[in-house]
Amino acid sequence: MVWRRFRSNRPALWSLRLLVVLLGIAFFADFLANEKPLYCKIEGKRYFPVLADYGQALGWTNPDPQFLNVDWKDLEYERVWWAPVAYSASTIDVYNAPFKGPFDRQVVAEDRFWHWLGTDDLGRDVAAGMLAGTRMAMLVGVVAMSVACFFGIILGLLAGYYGDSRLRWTRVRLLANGVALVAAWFYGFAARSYALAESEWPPGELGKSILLGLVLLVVANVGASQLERFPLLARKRALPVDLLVMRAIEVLESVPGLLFLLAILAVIEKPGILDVMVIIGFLSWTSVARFVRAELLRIRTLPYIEAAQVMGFSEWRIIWRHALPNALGPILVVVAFGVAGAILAEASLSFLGLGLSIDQVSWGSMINKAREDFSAWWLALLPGLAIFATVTIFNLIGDGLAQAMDAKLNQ
Amino acid sequence: MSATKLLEIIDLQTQFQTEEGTVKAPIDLLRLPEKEMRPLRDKDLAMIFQDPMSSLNPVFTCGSQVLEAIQLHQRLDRTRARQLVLDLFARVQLPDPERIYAAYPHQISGGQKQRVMIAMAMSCQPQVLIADEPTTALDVTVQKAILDLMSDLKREMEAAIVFITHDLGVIADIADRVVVMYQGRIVEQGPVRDIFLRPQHAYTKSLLACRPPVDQALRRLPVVRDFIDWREVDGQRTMVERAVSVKQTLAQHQLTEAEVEARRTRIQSGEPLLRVVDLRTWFPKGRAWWGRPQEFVKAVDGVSFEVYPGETMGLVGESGCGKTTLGRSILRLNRTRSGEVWYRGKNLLSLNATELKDLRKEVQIIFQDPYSSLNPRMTIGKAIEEPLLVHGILGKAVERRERVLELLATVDLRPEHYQRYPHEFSGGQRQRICIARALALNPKFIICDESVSALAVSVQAQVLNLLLELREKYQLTYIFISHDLSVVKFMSDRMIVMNGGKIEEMGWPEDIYQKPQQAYTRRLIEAIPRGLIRDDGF
Ligand SMILES: Nc1ncnc2c1ncn2[C@@H]1O[C@H](COP(=O)(O)OP(=O)(O)O)[C@@H](O)[C@H]1O
Ligand SMILES: [Mg+2]
Repeated sequence: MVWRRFRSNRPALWSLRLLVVLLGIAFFADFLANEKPLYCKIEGKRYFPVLADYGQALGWTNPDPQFLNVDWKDLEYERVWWAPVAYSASTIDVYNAPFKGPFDRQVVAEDRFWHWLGTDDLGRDVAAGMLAGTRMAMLVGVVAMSVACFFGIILGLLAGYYGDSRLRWTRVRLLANGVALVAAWFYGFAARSYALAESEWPPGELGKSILLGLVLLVVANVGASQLERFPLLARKRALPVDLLVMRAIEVLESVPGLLFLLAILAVIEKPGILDVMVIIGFLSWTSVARFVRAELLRIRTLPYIEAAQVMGFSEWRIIWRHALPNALGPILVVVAFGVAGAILAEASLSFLGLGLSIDQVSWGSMINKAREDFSAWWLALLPGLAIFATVTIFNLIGDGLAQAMDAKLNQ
Repeated sequence: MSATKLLEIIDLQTQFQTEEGTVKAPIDLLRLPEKEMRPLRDKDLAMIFQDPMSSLNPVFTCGSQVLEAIQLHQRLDRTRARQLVLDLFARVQLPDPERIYAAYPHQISGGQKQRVMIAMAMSCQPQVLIADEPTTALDVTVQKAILDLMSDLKREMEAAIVFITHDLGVIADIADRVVVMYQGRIVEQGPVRDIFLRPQHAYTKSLLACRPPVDQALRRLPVVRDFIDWREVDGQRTMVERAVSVKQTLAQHQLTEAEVEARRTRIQSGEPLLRVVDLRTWFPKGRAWWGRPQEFVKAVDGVSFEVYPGETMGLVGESGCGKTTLGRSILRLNRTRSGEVWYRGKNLLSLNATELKDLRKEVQIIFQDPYSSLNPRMTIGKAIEEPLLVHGILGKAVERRERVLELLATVDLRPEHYQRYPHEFSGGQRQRICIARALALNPKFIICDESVSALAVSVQAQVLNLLLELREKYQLTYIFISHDLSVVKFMSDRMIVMNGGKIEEMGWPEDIYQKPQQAYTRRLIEAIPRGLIRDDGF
């Protein structure tokens, strides 16, 4: 039903098709642009250098010493298949640096090595950069939105389903959990910040901190269960989940997103692209949470939820099997818009030179290069268009979804 | 059949006869192009829909919506148009037209919304007013007021009304002539008296018979199948009318006084299954910031009664009197303020979570709205199976499936429905599914909250019969909640009349019907559509 309505929306449908193409590019980027040949035959032996890279990354094969530090374009081949763009995004072509446009004179051995979309200051191929940028943009969208959905769905679910008065805990349990949370933060992070800072958030140390926090929470709840035997402590109180979550959202949303991002990145030493993605995700859970909350406010009063309660189903089951699946439609809309926002945020950061290491390329970092030479129009125009198109695609899909679902709700 | 379709189907060339005269519109609407149809539809034809909630736009005030409708086809300046709206509101007997003018749809009651819709329909002085089930979503008392209003307006404005309904009882109050449709065809038409006194077609008879009578006690309600047979003749299904009269059929199903008496003594001999003592459920209204509630809506306010095993306790009252809240409080879906609910020696209100889960198997509820009481993303089979799984009643998947199929058969559904999703079913079928799901846990006690109120009368009769059969088969005890006194009277052994959260009256149904002690009860009884009271004796 929703799908049929979505399909009748032309721009949204075309956007979806383009998105599939973009995802394809992101997935096969290594095969579309690579300095190594896809297949070659040297001295009677066959090689698949690009596939071999995947094998090495997975630890299945060892690098072939014969090809260490070789320039693939200088080798003698009996047969060779190059990728459509015969450069990787990080390949530096010193003969064509800096800033050779597509129509400038280029020094290339063969026509197939022509830089069709020009090069940047170091002589890196722009076409290869565009393809790598596509992969980066999709990755940012997926990672950031996964993080946003994780926090957004959980918090929105709690706020919407329990509201201010439906989550009732005994006094002692409330108290114990509150104390345990503070203690977990203190002993897990604040008191150990030295250890953590020294080694720059190594996974092991971080895991220890989280484990410590979990242990404290479990201890608190076991203790609370024991103490609940005393009637005075077992009196129930409502935990205003909705109020807490909504206030948190408001506080977070009142700070301009980009400023917040910059502030956090300034604190982290040597932020990598993954940090950027996670932080963008963490800043955009609020809109997911709002939507999930609104949907659950509606759904939790529906008779099928009450029927489930009357049949004695656990809260857990009711939330996951009955409430959440029916709230997922609208979440798709937020995710579509959220991806657009995340891509834009990442582009801004890369433009400012944050997050990416030297050998990584994204659309934003390419535009950044264009600042150095204003005549290098190809470096500004092409990634700019790509960002614009991708963001538009996601917004159109979001619009289409929103319309298709609204129609369903009004029906 | 949808009335939007009707707008296109009525062939005005044959001239639409009504008691008030002939609509002078010798145009064949069927052949009229859409462009010319539009102004006609807006001006000469007006329409009122079943659901007043969805036909008014929630973001505009009631007044501005009627105003817009007027300005669409009358050149009037704003102040004059506004005055006209206020006049119209006064004419449809809305209290305080100025206030309603400025109110948003959610701020006024269902009956008031329907009056606003009528005002909007009247605003262009239509010659034909088509009303598609305009009172189905309303209370009996409100329904009566709306019907009276429409009769008055019909006389005053000399407009013809096409009143579409599934409820013949309502027709008797408002119509001059009746057209009965069955499976897309007109099977009978004539003056309302003839239809009621001498129904010719079997379907008309079944419609007359399937509404629960208020002056008789029946074993079960007659349904369409009692009057119409379908036979396979030459590979074609043909309709065969049975030659029985309404009166005969009703007499056949009548309970004798001895039977009623025997049932009563049997029921009352046991210990009460459920005992509600001074139950109060108050909802906070206007809460101070981060503080205690200031005022309360006293939805249930000091209610006490007992229900015996096997008994059906009817609960009747206007909407908003607290019936639903009472049922929900017994099931602990609401927080109660004070009181006790004793079920088999346990106070339901003070059980902890594990004790409560065990009791959940015994007490179930069937809701009013069959459209939202099933999870739209779960197949019927899974929905009925889930309680068995959660309570670990049948260990093996095969056994559970068997049981689900058996339950489907119990409520007259077919095994192939197992894999289907709720949206593939009609309202009556969904209500059967809900019943099957409630039965899955072998409950002893079921609360039916307006379980048949959303259904057409002929379907309602089938579901009521099913509930009665199940009561005998599984020794069930019911609390049967409805705003419709005739339905409650048919179902119940004893009944309670509720008003404003308190019990107004409690006793045997025929006593309450024949000798109501309270003015409120009398008002409820008077609001029952006239078509049901068969004083003509046919
Ligand atoms: N959750 C709630 N919060 C506040 N008021 C409520 C709530 N549920 C019901 N009410 C109020 O309680 C009264 C009784 O409602 P209800 O039990 O639904 O009546 P009925 O079922 O008889 O139509 C109404 O005035 C209604 O507005
Ligand atoms: Mg109700």
